Amino acid sequence: MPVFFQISDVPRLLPELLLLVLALLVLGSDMFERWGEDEESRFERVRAAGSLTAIGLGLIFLITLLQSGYVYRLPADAPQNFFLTIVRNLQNGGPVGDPVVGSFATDHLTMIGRLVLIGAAFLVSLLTLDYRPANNPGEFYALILLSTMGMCLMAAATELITAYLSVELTSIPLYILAGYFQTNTRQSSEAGMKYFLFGALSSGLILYGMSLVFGFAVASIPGGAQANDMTQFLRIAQATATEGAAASKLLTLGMLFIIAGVGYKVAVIPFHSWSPDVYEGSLTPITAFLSTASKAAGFLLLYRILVTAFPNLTGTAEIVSGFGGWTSLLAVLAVATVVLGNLAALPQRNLKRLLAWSSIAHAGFVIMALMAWASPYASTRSMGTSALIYYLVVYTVTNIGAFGALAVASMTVGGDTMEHLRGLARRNLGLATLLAIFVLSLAGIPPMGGFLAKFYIFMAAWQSGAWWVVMTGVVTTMIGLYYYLLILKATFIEEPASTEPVPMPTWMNATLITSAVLVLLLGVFPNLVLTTIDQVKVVAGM
Amino acid sequence: MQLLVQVIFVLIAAEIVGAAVMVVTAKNIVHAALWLIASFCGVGALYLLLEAEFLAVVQVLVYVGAISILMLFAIMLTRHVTGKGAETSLYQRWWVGLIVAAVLFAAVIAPTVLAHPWETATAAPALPGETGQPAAMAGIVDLGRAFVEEYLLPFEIAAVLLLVGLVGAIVIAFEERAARRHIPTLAEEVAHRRQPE
Repeated sequence: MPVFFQISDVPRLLPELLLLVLALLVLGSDMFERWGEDEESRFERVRAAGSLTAIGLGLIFLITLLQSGYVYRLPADAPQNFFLTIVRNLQNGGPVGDPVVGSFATDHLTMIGRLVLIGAAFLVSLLTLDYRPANNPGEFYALILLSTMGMCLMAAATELITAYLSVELTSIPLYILAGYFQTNTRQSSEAGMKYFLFGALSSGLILYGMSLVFGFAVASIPGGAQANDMTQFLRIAQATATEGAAASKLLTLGMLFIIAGVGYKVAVIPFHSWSPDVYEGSLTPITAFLSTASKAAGFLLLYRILVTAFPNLTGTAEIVSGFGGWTSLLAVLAVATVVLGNLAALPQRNLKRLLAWSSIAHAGFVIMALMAWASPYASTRSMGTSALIYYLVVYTVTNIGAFGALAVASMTVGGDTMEHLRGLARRNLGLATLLAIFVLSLAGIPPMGGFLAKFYIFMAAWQSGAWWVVMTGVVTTMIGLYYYLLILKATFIEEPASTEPVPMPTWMNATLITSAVLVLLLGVFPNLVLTTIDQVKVVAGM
Repeated sequence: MQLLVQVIFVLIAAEIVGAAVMVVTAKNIVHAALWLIASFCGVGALYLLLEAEFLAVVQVLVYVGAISILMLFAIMLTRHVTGKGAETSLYQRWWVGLIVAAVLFAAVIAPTVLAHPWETATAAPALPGETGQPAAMAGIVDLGRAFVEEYLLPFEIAAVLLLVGLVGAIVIAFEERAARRHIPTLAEEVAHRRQPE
């Protein structure tokens, strides 16, 4: 039975629609700003586009939060008046119901994903306010917004074509943004080009895998089914639930291609080689966006696609006996990623490259959360889900903060190598403290959010029997501590090159303080978000 | 009949793959673009073989008629590469890549694809959507319906994607001129690009 788009589905798509409208608004309003080539009017244009984006994203974040009903849900017996009716209609589009036209789920996973992604975009747009991107500010911010829209769609896609298109909608603006103007244009162009080539290859892999999976699913329906909806994850899972389907390896091959393609997007080893160069070459706030939001969206898509479309290929996490299924594959990827990511980070002197390798290592930890599906018990699986999302939330906030602190440092000190950070604590104690909070959270030191995030992931993976993965994770965390502490040593202990105080740009300061407060809050009171995250027990399409 | 279709398929497939190989190996970038057109035409013929007439026509109209011509224009407007052979330097250890690809193909892809029990030669063409084949969507009516029913969201997302491509192309190609008041015509743009020489 074909599903139609209902007019009541519009509020369910509201955050995405609002992002699109805001992007068009930013593009259009750029024309009415002050024209002129002098520095002052350029800066005014940047400020106008940036402020509009930041305010708009803040509003959209609040609307999404209201819609999700996580902080306030309108009671059923609330009086009927104009405003409350708006709120009621908005919340009716909340985390309920079947996927829109079978391809867009609005479940708890989508809601939380949207909040994380839009929140990340908001923080990044605040970071860029002081940054002065010199050319085409309207297009710059519009591309950020459109990319965010693509990420939200990625988190919600329950169908192959939607998933593919949303991956593209996320990536193409990011290719352009990575290659966007900088003082060292050559490096930036190199970053954009590299990102584009690898991204195009990975898109090809995803498409190839998807066509294999679709063809296999259609061919294995045992007669008599309307087959136009065979691109939906749920239908793929249903069609391939038979014995014969599991015996053929063609579906596995398709899944391998999809995992490899998404693996490129989230930069797990061995699909990581683009990421240090791209992170180094891009504008630092864009690097923050790349390494947090786009990765988080990739993991949400990977999670949904594996869990809803390939539950029949789950497998185990045993190291010797019963090696097979996607949990085993991901276990190997996770081990390789945490080991190589952390080891390669050790000799880096450029902090952006160092954080790039560290974010590769973090991708390995996130993958460990998916190990939970090796366990047959629903409780372990839902624990893995909670651990995954909690890690993504903490990681997003922390890494935006870390790259933001780096952006401030490179703007004011003039570079982002270890040497530039030397003695930062004596030049600006506040900045050094903020940087320390983020770095310690990345390293996984107790009062910060990063500790609990790692802890939950290890717990989930251990319970599913992947003890060897957890052991590797623990050991590499300790190795990682070395280079994280190197940053702190340079900042706090070494002698500064000059004692001139470092100024702190207003909006960057505000962003960093917000992120730091969030990191501490998440670490000390994890129940603030865990109760919400625990609602993601049922993923639409399961 | 079955055999004839298979022979035609093999011919078309060989044409597509051969032309695609020529695209990436041709030294002259204009030749590469022309080979790409040949490859696109082959894909159009493949659609025709699958009885998707509308898709075949659109393939030829859009890819061959519009996109390839645009590519040729872009090549002509770019400095230094018109007609001349672009330097192609193969990565020194290309054979390593070749070995890795061959091993992966032999170890993973070939066994999987060969071991799969392919359904060959279905006896009589059943009604659409009855033997597990997707309901035929080749006709314009079916295609149009699918775009507003099952595939409404992808259809709309594709529209946004095109907008992104357009904005990105303009951002990359036309850097902001100092004189923002004046939007240069194509001729002025070309003249401006030639100037530094």
